Amino acid sequence: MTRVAVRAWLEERLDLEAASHLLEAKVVPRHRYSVFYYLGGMALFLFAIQLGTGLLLLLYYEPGVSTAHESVKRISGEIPFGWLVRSIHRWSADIFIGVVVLHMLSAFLMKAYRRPRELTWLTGVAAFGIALGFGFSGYLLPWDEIAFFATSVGTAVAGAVPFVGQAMLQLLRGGDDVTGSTLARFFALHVVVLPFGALVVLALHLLQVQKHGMSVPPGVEESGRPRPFFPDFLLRDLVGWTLALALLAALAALLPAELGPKADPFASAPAGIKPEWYFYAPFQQLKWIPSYVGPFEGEAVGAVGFGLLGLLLALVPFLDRRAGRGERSPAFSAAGVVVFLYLVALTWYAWLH
Amino acid sequence: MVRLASLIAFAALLLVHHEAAAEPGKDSCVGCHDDPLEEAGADVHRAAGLSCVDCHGGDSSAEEPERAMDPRKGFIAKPKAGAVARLCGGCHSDIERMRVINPRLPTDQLAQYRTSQHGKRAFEGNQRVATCVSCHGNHGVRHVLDPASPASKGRIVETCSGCHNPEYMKGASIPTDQLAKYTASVHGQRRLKERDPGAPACSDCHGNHGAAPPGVYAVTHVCGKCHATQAELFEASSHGEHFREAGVPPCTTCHNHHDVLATSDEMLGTGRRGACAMCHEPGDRCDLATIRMRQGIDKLTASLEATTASLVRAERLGMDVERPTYDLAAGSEAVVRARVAIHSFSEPEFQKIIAEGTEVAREVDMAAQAKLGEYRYRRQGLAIASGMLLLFAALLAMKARQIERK
Repeated sequence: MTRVAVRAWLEERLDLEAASHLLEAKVVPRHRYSVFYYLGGMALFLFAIQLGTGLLLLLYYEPGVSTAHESVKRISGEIPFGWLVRSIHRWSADIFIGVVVLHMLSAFLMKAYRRPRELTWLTGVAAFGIALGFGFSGYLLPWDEIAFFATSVGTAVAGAVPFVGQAMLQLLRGGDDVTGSTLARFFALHVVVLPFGALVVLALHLLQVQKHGMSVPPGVEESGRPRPFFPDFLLRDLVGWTLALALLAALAALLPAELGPKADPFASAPAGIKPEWYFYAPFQQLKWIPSYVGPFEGEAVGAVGFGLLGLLLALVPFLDRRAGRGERSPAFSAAGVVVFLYLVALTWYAWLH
Repeated sequence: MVRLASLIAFAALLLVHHEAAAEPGKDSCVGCHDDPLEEAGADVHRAAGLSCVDCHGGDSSAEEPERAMDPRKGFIAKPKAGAVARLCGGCHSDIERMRVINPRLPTDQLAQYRTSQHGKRAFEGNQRVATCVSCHGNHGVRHVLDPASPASKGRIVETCSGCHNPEYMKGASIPTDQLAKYTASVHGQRRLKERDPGAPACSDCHGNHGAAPPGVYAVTHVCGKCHATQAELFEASSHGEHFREAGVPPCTTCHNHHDVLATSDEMLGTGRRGACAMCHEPGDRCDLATIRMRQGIDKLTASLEATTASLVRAERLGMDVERPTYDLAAGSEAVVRARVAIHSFSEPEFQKIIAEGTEVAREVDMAAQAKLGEYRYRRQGLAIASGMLLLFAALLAMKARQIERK
């Protein structure tokens, strides 16, 4: 009786019946590539892990030049399970970016961006940008030596962008150099601006997915009737998420997140400064670009080049007109794969050197 | 006409002025002699505006050698030992003059030299004894802070041993094995092998201008310049009093002087390498005390080593051991303090420090064991969590298949 009353009370206010119908009606197409549909859910799960562990870290992290490093050290060494939460946050971030990249690659190859899903793609690219922003801003927060110098180098690249570079540099650093002001800005960016942006973008992305359903690649035949999202697909999602959780726990226990010596702005830069792995490609490319390319500064050319690459990525649905008309466009896919493989090669090279 | 006369008069005035100005700078010495300062490359005296005649006397403006090097004009070709000191001291002891040239230089060198063994012998007429130029050079004198100066800290051992060697000192009544002993000593090893600029060289113990062997009662002060706490403890101890009464030099009696060897805990007691055996008999009251002290320090160092090994192991396993590693420094410090406290010859003081160190080692070892325990706990936790998660994943997969079949 009570259960029925509660349900009726909720029904009156939330229209649960409609939500239930929506869930029952949602299906996932079946074909030989449908395994890639799990990547979106996996990215969402890892993002949730990031939010959860991030909130726990927020309980003890203290931003500030004199407190950041100390508080991270305390989290790793003294707070019960602090090491576990921090290590999971760290590993989950890495895997999250990897999964987002694979999710985008599969969407690209399956032409999931074609009409009418242009906005799904655009919000996906925006979410990818936000994910990179999370990585870049989060890297500085422990205020250790490598993070400090890697951020100095990273923000200097932003400063090389013609016309607006210096303004961007000042905006990011909160001054001429990486200081406590930079840490304060990156902290605000990491825990307020980016999460808010991510939630908005993800909501739009999921709304689009809900509205248009999963895209079936052109020329691919469906094998059997679509799989109901609930509970069939969600159960399979859960299997993947549980395995991901087991992997994260193992990585955290066996390879816990490290913390270098506290940043000293007056010390000379240590050897082997590297950004996070997902910035290896631009990092390596910038190292290879000569100081001057014609009349232009090499760093500016690199920064503008990668900016244009990002723009091209966002404009994919509008550039691939054949796919927009429902036709096959293997040349466009091949061009995308070549660019992707080049970025992978750069990352691999930077990893080894 | 008047203008022409004025012009000629002005030109004549210029010429006369030029002649007059050229005269003091004229140096006929280098007309015949190769300029030794030119060969030396750098010389503080030339930089200060001095020339040959300022040291050698004579008349540098005279063209003829007889007039230029006229003894009546104070010319001295090669001053004798005592004269060298007086010659250099003529300027260097002149406070007003040195204040103008270099107010930071001391002006007591000559006074000190007169009190030194070198100075005493020089003024007695010994010509083989060290004078100013023996250490500073004659032409091409450099500042003592210049590493190229023979009197610089980096070269002083080489300079002193230039004379204090068996060959030069043949027939002299003083020992000539100082360099060999110093080279083998802990000071010499630091100074000569490890190039430690803080390690003492000859002049740090003997002085420089007033160089002399430190007397029996000065040894504590000399060694105490660096080993201040040991010197203070020794002076205040019963041994300090006994040594003074017996006229036995402190410090060097146990540690030697030129051949000061690296200390070790084996020096404590009457054992084979024990320093106490010189005065104490095995089994006497003091020997028994040193045996207890030795046991204390051995036990402390052993427990610190075991704790360090546990910390290293925990760190290798990925645990954060920064804090206990930092805390352990107090234990190592206790060992150093205990070794210093030996110079007080007070067993209670020594054992108090050993007890402090032992407590630190015990606490840090507990922390290290806790870290190792935490590591085991994490492993067990990982195994249990992984097992549960995998089991849950398997159940979910089975359920999904079951639904699929329906």
